[in-house]
Amino acid sequence: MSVSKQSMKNHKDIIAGIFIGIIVFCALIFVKPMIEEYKMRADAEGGPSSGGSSAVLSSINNDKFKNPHFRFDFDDVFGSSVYQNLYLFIYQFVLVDPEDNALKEVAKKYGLTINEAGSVRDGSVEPLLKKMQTGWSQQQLFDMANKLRADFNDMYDLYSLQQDLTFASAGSELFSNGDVSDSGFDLVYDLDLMEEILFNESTPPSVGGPLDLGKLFKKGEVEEAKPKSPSIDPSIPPVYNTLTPVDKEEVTTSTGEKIIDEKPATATGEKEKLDPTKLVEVTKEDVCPKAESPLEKAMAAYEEQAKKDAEAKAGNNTTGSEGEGTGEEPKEKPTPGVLAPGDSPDSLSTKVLPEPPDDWYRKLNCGGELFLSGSGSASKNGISLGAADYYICLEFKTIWETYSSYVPKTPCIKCELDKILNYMQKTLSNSMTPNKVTGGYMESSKCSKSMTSIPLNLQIQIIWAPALTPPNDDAIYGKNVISEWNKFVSRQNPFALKDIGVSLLVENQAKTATDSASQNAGPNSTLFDLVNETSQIQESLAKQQADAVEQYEISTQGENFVIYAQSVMEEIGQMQKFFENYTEMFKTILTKSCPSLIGKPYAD
Amino acid sequence: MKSSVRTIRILIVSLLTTFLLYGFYSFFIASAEYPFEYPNAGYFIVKMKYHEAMNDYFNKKIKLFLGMKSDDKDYFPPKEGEECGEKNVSTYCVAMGALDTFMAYSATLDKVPALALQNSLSGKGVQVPTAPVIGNPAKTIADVFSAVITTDQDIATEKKNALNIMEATISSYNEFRLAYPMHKKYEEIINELFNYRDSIRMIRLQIQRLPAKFKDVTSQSCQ
Repeated sequence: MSVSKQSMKNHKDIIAGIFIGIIVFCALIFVKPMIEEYKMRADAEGGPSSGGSSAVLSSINNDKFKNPHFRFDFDDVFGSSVYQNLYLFIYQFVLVDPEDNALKEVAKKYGLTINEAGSVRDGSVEPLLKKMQTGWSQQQLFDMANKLRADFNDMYDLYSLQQDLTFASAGSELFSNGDVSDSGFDLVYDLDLMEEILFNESTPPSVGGPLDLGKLFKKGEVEEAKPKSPSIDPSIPPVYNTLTPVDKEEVTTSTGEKIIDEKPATATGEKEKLDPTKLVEVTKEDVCPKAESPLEKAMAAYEEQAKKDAEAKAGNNTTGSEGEGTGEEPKEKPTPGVLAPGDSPDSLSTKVLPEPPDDWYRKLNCGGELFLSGSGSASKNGISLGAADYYICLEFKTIWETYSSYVPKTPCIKCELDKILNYMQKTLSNSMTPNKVTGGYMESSKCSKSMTSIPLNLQIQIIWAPALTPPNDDAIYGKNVISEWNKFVSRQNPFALKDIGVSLLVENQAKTATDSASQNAGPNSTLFDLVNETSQIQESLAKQQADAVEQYEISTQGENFVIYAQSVMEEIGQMQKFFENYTEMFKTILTKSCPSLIGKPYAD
Repeated sequence: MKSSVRTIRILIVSLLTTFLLYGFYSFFIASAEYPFEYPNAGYFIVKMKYHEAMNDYFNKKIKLFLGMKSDDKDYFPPKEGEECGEKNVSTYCVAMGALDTFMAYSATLDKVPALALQNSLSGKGVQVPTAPVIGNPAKTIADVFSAVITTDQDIATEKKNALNIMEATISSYNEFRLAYPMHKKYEEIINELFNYRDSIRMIRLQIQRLPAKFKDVTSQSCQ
């Protein structure tokens, strides 16, 4: 009995608990909205003082927006890497900016401040009372206030239309108008950067331009405030800070070797004039045989004759004077190899003179004077002039300079290639073929004329094996054929056209439309109704088809670009390996093949 | 002792009942899915909460998008027959989510009481277009009708504006979604080009050390 009583009590407790729980639950349901509404009102307290669109901005629970005059700028949304508050930015662009502009215009027109004009727009006539002349009736004040509101509405509509049109046209080019100041990043700017890296040039974009915010300043002020070319804009968005720095004065190679490069430019686009004389050697002596000309023949005869005369005169003159008319004292020459009395044997070495080198190139001994023909006895500086009637000596020298285009200081890929070409030209302007060798059989001497010499002096030249070029050099853009085919089959289903209700083929469209119209036709339908129905269905199918094609294009567009970019990056990476091989090859040349070159001072 | 045990028992049962019922209600029945679905709070507050909620929605989607890889399943629209998940960042799914929010907002605005609009405006310190010069006009039936008409007009304008802003934001999001991956790829290419340029530069620095003056060599070309 007591157990049953206890059980009853327990049941009563449980029922009471459930009952209380239900009451609390109901209370919560009814109270919660009230609490929420109270919270919402509490949040809104101390918010905007104006009922305009800008009030929403300053009401939102963010410390940044508490300032009623706060306005978003592009940098607030796109200046960081998180791209937050896009919706509020658009809200401001579409609603708040036209309101601000219209209010400003109206305030200017009526001689009020913007806040006063806002008050009048919201229903107050107090600002007008202060401004207007005394003696105005209440009706006049109301009329004036109504006129201000009407003007505001007109201006607002105009500015709103302007913003709509601006956003519809320029908004779609926000990320590709060549200006990073309105979007944080820009695809055209990216391409400009690539152009600068490649060619050190930046072509200004012919389309686009910064998006005019159309806010409280005129268009010209916007353009002035935001430079059009991002390359000269010092405030490049932080999203570009991740890119590799442009240049370093000291370069460390992969092996740890430090090489000091020339100083980088102080400003982008600065150019230095390439001094070709630093790069190119001027050949002073003409070492190649030339075709004989009458003048050269005469000059050669003259040289030979003059040499013979000089030798004859030197042999005859044992006592002293060195030629007629010179007036110079003859130099006493020691006899080679003969000891004078009193000389020690050790002094022999000092008296033994080396054989003078063969002066195979004798310079013309000309004073630039014109000599008239003589009777054969005339002489100049001991040289007989009888061999020629008259002659003119002209001094000449060959100047060979190569002028290259301006090479900018800022490193770029084209600039580096230009420099490489110039340095290589400097080195390769000389042939490694020894001087005075006319070239033998199988030799590559350009000045060689004889191809029939016996190849006793055969020169063997080592030609370095060329570095392997990357495979598929031309095919930098491509897709997997199998995956493309599978995609095509799965999307277009070319082998099961009959099984598809709506095919992309035009004839099938017509058939489907006719079948469908026939099925839908009622007993009282005329032929005209049937044709109309068929046309409508066909039109609908055509729209579906166009949509499907458009969707396909959109979906493949991004995919294609990703594949393309991947291919380009792989190609660039491959070329870097390629260049590393070249670098190693040149190092081998400098350190192993021709180690003496490494001791050469650094190039001027 | 017995009474305290009973009290505790009743308390536990009531708490359990409350949690169960409230959980069930919140999960299956509660209609306030969005923070602005409180029409009695007034027009302005609902409007403010809606725009704040939409801003949070797009912020969340952009954050998800930035942290997602391009080969992620949620990067693309769902296949036919599947539904958009919470994490899907395709323009289609983002637009669908925004549209749901807008529809809820539109429905909430329809429930905002006409006079609550005026009250909420007045409560916010906003000056209602009345004649403040000489007293307040008496509330007549015409005034009430006028207030209702004004409310309807404001709500209709707000709906139109909200729709425009939503469409413009979706359009911008779509542009951003298309351009940002391309920009990231361009960034990678630019970095690779920097490396490419430096590699060529290394070759040039080696070539620069090659000599130019040689003894006893011929010229490459006949003069």
